[in-house]
Amino acid sequence: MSAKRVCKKCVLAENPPVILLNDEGVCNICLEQEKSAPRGQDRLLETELVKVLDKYRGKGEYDCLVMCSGGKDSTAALYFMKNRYKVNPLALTFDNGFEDKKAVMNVRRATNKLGVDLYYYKSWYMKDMFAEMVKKGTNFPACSICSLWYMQVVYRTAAQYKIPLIVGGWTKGQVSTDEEHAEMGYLCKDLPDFIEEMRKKYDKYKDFPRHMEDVKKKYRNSRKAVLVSPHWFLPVTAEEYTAIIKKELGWEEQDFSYPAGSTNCLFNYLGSYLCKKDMGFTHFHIECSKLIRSGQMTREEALELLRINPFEEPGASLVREVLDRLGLEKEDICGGEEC
Amino acid sequence: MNSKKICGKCVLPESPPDIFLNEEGVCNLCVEHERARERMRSEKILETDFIKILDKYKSKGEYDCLVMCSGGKDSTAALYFMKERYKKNPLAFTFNHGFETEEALDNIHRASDKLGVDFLYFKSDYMKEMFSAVVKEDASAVICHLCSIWYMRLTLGIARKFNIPIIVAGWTKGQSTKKALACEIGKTEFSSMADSTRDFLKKYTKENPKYRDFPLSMDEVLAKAGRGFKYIIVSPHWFLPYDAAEYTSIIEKEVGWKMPELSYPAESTNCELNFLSVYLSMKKHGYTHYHVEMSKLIREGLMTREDALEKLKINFSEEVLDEVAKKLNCKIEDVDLDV
Repeated sequence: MSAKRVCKKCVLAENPPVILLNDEGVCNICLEQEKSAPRGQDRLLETELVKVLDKYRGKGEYDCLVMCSGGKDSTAALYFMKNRYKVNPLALTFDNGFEDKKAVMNVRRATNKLGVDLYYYKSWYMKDMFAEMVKKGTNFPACSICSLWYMQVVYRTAAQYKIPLIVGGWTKGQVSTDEEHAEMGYLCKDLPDFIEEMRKKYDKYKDFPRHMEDVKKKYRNSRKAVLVSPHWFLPVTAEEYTAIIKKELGWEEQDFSYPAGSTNCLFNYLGSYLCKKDMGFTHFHIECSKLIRSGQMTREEALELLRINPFEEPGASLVREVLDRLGLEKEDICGGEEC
Repeated sequence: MNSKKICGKCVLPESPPDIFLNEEGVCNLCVEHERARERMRSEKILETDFIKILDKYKSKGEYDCLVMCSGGKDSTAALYFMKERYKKNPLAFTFNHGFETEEALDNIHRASDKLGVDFLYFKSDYMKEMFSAVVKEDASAVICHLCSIWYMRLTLGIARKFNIPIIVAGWTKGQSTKKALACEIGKTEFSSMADSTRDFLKKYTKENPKYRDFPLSMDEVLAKAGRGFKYIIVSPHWFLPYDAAEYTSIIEKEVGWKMPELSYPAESTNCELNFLSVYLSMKKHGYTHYHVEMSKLIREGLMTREDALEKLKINFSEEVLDEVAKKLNCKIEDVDLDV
């Protein structure tokens, strides 16, 4: 693991020239945030969401497309759309072949209970790329490249069904796909080279999007889809809505998730490990740091959530299973060099 | 239940004005078939014909063919053959109207994992009210026919959205032939069923705005889909020399396929609603589409009459029917399973 210094206030690791620690061990992003504080009320009002929903309601077969992975955030988003805002959603689940089975069951139970249509799409398209990432030991988050693929699936599906509004379960701390952050950009600095290489090496990746703008351009012509998350507007905490979906939709927590209680992608664990090994942090560290700065999470909680060790159980068996699905051996990781 | 005379060669009961038995107790369809036998022998369908079709309908999109996959043995084997024997890149498509069994879905998930085939699953309760109406109104319409009309419309919609020209079904040699498609509504042995289904649809779609755009027949679906879109619907089973027992053992071994515990006819469907459809069809028409299918197989020498009679015995209980009826919010009065 890298022996990079970590900010004493948040969980980001020192990475010049983007993330720098001062003499007290506090990073520039935390300092900047303090300087601009108090930022006052940055909570968006629910009326704003209602206005958006009303604009698109009843225009087509479905009012909105809800990206639903079966995790707590997106399952709650689906629940709120149907039961709180009374819109007619189409739930979309994309499975890159590594989606947690329990999460898929969550979506199926939720859509059954809510009487919502479900469009589940499993594709092995990303598999070769994942295998390449493991072999090379890439230092950017797997999600950054996979999200280019799945947002393409999302925009395509929205276009296919002529749905103008896309709903995700993004929390307030999450970097939405529309946002650009210096620390996120830095984390993905080597991504363009990797994509370029894959485009050349594999015929099926020859048109792989270089960045999110490519994805949007491809489908924007047919539909100007708007992205929104109810969690940006709702005054309901994660604990509260988790309790709601457990009771109302029979939602069950995944057996294993990284960070705990979050994603449902089994590849993510190994991907995050590779990223953290080189950079000292991942996009999950960025997300948690935001939550720490806004007082929604303590640094200790974040550090606990973000612990990663593929050499101990249960991480070790998960890594074994992921390698097995990719047709790789443990020795293939980072091209065989000591990890 | 009725005690109609049954053809001594196939398993169809005498059902004027469509099916008549002669003095020897043989039905008009068998007599007709006997007459056409010589001609049909010379028209034997070869696998080369199938390969020619696959070559002719080249895909411009990501997928070569769309495989309608219910998770039963016939469609799972069709998926297997498309990928492994013909080396195509298929998209497996499953429609669940809410009555697909869990074991069937597990079968498809396993098959798509093992074969590395992409999988699209669409679940919708849209048809539920219509199914319920058939029971409540004591209509003679055949539930399976209503469903197959909708399933085919969805399939062709997906094919168009993904630009896939070849639609592959798992139909057996008894279910359809090269020239006629789908459930062959309009054929002699289906006349009364088809008429009842159409009559029901005409009235019901007019009275229920939700189903305003519901197609009135399979022909309508096939014709509408053909506007500006060239497609073909085929089944590898029409061309392949394997019988059901042979391909069942292949998929058990290669993709971990498992036989459903309860199925009517034995070893066949994966739909809970099918039990109800079969019961109502027996009650209203004296036979089902499975009797038609198996009679064809008998005439072709692909199944013995004894085997067919055994498979067609009602093997489900009143409780099974009650369970399904409950899901449709209705009750079936005076159940008589004694056929």
